[in-house]
Amino acid sequence: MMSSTTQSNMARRIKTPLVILFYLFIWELGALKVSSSLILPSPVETIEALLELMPKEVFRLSVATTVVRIVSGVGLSMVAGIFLGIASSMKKQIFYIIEPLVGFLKSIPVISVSILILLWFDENIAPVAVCFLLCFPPIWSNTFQGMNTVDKKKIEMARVYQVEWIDILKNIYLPHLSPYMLSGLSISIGLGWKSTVTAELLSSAPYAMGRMIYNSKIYLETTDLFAWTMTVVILSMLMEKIVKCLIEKKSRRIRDGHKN
Amino acid sequence: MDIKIKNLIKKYNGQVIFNGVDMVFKRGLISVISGPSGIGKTTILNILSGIDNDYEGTVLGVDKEKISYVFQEPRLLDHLTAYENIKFVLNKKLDFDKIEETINKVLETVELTEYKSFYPNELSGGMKQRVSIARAFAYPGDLILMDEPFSGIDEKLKMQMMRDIKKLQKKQMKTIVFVTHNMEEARFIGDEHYIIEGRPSIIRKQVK
Repeated sequence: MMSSTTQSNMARRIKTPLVILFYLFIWELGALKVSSSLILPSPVETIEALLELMPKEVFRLSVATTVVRIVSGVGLSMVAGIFLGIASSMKKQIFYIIEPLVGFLKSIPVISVSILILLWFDENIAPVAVCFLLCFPPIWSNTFQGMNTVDKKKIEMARVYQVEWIDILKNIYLPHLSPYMLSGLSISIGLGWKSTVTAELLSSAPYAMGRMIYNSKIYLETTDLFAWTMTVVILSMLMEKIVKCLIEKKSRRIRDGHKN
Repeated sequence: MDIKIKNLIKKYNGQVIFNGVDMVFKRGLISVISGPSGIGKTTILNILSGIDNDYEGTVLGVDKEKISYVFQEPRLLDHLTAYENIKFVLNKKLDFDKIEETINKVLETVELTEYKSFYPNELSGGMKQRVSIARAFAYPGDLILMDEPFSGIDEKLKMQMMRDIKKLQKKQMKTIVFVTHNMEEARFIGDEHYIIEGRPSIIRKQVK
């Protein structure tokens, strides 16, 4: 007899492709109705364009450069967000300084940040800086929230027993913070892709997915525009999945570290 | 040297809880502090342990690095087993070889050897509290503070746990300050007995 967990896993495995097929079908219907690949190319045309683009060097270089920019931007925002999130929960003065900045960054449009940053940095650095500024708020907020919900009684217990701060961090803070950081990171990866590609588009950075999207638009190559967009979506989802797996593995290792 | 509290003055939310109180806890004995809820029993333990530093007066004979504390709740870390929870407070306090021996010994005394690799969510409330008692006795300190460690535990188990504590105390000759509002518990476990009453509180020492 199948357990309910196995059944629900199977249902999810069947459901996801069905949902994707449903949306591809709606897209195909729309493309048939419009019947102009200049306005709305069909899924098949888009996949064909993607397959044509993939072997080209410009595709590989653009994808690689954009991915490096996103990893750098998200990575920097992780380091700064976690460090300042922990510091803000420990020192009120730091919180008072960071909180309005985070509020400002959360509400400012991506386009405004990108244009401003482009005035100050060159086209290679600007997308990384934009990505950093937009990814920082969710990571900072989540870390700060995690720090404030940690069980103070357990900290008190560890302090009475004179446990070293590194062990308190490893055994009380980190296991509690990891889901908060994971959720912050997962939001940031999506934001990172959107902001970096937008900044690349505005900065006309060399070898950049954003620039390729812009070129497709000005040369009215709508099928290519769809193919590049599809690449962004697939890579963004893939990166989120990989990072989630890595962090979950790492958190499990932190949790199980004491067994050895 | 005995543990002494001299001329303790403690205010909480503008209210005077203790106004010049003196207490002495003799080394190697179990001293019980009893009294109604909210009278300031836990405050005494928090002052002794250093959790509460907002008071006037003097505390003598306490080495802050040699204190164990059994709280009302077990305060175990959920991702660590019973064994690891005890090891968590012993790291770098005992030699590596000594840690295992010490933990095994205390777990045997509280009859939890079979459960050493169980996680807190796999243990009953009473078992978790026994792990926290074992943790306190495994710690290389000389003073153990216990704050109503039997709240929410049934009578039969409570008796067994009180016997465990007496057994461990006899073996290790540690000084224990035990807080309870239950007079029967106080009489059974205590070598010395302080009763706190009134507001500002006064402390009576009851002769056994």
